[in-house]
Amino acid sequence: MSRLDPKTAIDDVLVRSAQNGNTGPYEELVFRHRDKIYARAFSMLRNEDEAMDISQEAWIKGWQRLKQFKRDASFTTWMTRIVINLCLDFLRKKQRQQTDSLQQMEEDSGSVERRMPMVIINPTAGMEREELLAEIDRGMAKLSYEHRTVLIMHEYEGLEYKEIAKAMHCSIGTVMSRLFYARRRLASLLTALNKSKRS
Amino acid sequence: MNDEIQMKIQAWVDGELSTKEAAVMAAYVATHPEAKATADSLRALHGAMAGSEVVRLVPETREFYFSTIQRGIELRHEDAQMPAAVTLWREWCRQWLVPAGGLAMLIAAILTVGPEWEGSTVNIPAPKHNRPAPAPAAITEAPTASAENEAGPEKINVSSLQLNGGANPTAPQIPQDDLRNAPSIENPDR
Repeated sequence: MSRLDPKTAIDDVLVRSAQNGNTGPYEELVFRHRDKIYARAFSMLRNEDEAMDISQEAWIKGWQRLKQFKRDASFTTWMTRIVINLCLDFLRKKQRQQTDSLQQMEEDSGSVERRMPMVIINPTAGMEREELLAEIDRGMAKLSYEHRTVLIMHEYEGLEYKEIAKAMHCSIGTVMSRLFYARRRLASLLTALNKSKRS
Repeated sequence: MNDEIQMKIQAWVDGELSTKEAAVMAAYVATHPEAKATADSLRALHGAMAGSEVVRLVPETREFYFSTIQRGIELRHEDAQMPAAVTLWREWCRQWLVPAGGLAMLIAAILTVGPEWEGSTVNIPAPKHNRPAPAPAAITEAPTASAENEAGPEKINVSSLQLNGGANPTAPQIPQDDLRNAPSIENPDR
């Protein structure tokens, strides 16, 4: 049997070897996908240090649970679910420790978004792609963690409502509502930024 | 158009409705310009967000990043490898030793304090000298106390004690000389 070369082996082969207790292939997997896992943690937490800690914790958890990975999804999808769950746990704990401001409570219930215009035709019209990416990123940072999370899970991870509901420990109706108000708020922020740049 | 209808439109755009519901919604959107505008707006935002995630790189070297992970893995492994006996001992302590210790402390407290709290009777050791038992100036004995003292001078019934100048005028007074001879708390040699 030929010796495994981690640098050239595909993810599936590395995973199988790591499942047998080899840390070398796992290190290669970490090296290949660490930026994606870190980026996901950062997009949810919006804090470099916290994203770093949580992403590393995700890799530790990944190693511990590696034998449970059935390879029915890609390794990165599986790792992304782990980091999302860790971020959600972290944010829930953090929110419990903080005293909610009135604004935060309003954002969570969507009461701020209810007062926004009903229909915004195309909030990103006329923006260059790079400018658009930066504005969306800035807009996402201004959302509450619940709104940001549903958008990330739906728009970036492509999860269905029921999958988001399961991860966030809430009903599908809550996911629909959060997604709706998150989109409305983000659209409103992008429209405002677009207008201010044009004028 | 209320938020509920807009959320239905959103679910339709996201492909979350059943075939039957989707057909109903498609017909509704086709005949309602405001609903169509909402659907277009949602599609525009969805399109803008597709692939919009900013690329972020781990701000550490590969070796440093992985060394933290490796240390974490080793620590968890050590915890998992802890002998079963140690785990069982810890669990046993938590389950039995802690409550038993508490109970032992409670029993010790009862044994120490308990005898002095039998009913309303307080045991006071008999004085070693022949003088009458020194008593605080504020306490006098009720008439029944003298009979009880004859039977057993060590015991003083608290309920039979009254403050000096109390309502019982028949209570015998301790002679003032005895009070003067009583040892002083501040100066026990007196």
